[in-house]
Amino acid sequence: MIQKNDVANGLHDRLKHNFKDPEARHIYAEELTNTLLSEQMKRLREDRKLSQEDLAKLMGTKQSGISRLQARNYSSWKVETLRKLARAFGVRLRISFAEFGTIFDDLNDSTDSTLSPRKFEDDPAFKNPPSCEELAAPPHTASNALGSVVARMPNRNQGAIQSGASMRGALGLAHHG
Amino acid sequence: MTGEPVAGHNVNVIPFDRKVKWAIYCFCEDGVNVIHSFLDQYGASAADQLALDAKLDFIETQGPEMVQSVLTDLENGLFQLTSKRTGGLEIHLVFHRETFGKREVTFLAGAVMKGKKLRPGYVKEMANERLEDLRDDPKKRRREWPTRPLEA
Repeated sequence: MIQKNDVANGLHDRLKHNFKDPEARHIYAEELTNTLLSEQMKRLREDRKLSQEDLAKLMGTKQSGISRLQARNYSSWKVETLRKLARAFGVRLRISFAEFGTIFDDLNDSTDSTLSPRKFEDDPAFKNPPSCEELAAPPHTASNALGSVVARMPNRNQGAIQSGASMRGALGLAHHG
Repeated sequence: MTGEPVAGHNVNVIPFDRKVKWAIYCFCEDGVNVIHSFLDQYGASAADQLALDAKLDFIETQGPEMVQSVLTDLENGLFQLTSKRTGGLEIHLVFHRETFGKREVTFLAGAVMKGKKLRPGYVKEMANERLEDLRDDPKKRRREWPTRPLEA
């Protein structure tokens, strides 16, 4: 969704102008996807405390292959490789086509949590799901059921900062994140 | 922000901001944006600049920590942003984080990789010199986007 600042700071106008050219909008969108995938892979590997060698073993490939995937601005992603990465990280792979307007969501809503999703074992939807009683509660108490689920979720930001790489420290994430 | 459509306008389209964004500045020499000059000098194509934009937009909306995978820490608050599109130029832009205030970056210099060598090779030194100039004279930067809009 477009945010007020996207309009105020010129982002919306710039993209609207540049996206008049079909080639330009596809190039931009592809680069945005590449950047997001690279960020996710870097963070997931670091948060899971996996070396390139560890990840290679989990994927049944060679360390050099992981090194290539983590090269700056890597762009030759294959669906099969992404599937193997998802299995190694314990998350699901979601691939979908989307409207160009969702670019604003990618830009505005990417956070430590979305970039490094929890593995299945830590996923609150399956780890501590709400009980039938909580889900069956009258509508006016529905927020309580949701609140109890939220309360059980581990503190994501705290974990992200504690397990962050040296780059994040250098970038001052602890102060500004 | 949520609300009902008012007088035919969907007030849900543009909500209040959830977070403060980052300000992007470029160093200027004799009033000229040095990053624009650099991109012109090395012939960065529209595609090269769009690839750069995708990373710059993350910096503006979320901060530099959102593009860790394409950053190199040059120490003392200087970082190098790398952008490379298949078949295009490998562009390196050096910026300084939070020179005068929080949530701002200033792009100071650029280089391209040619024949496995950075050109100009003294980009880090150039960025450091410009950073000193900027600290002496804060007017030597403008709040301007590092790439130019595509020509119509």
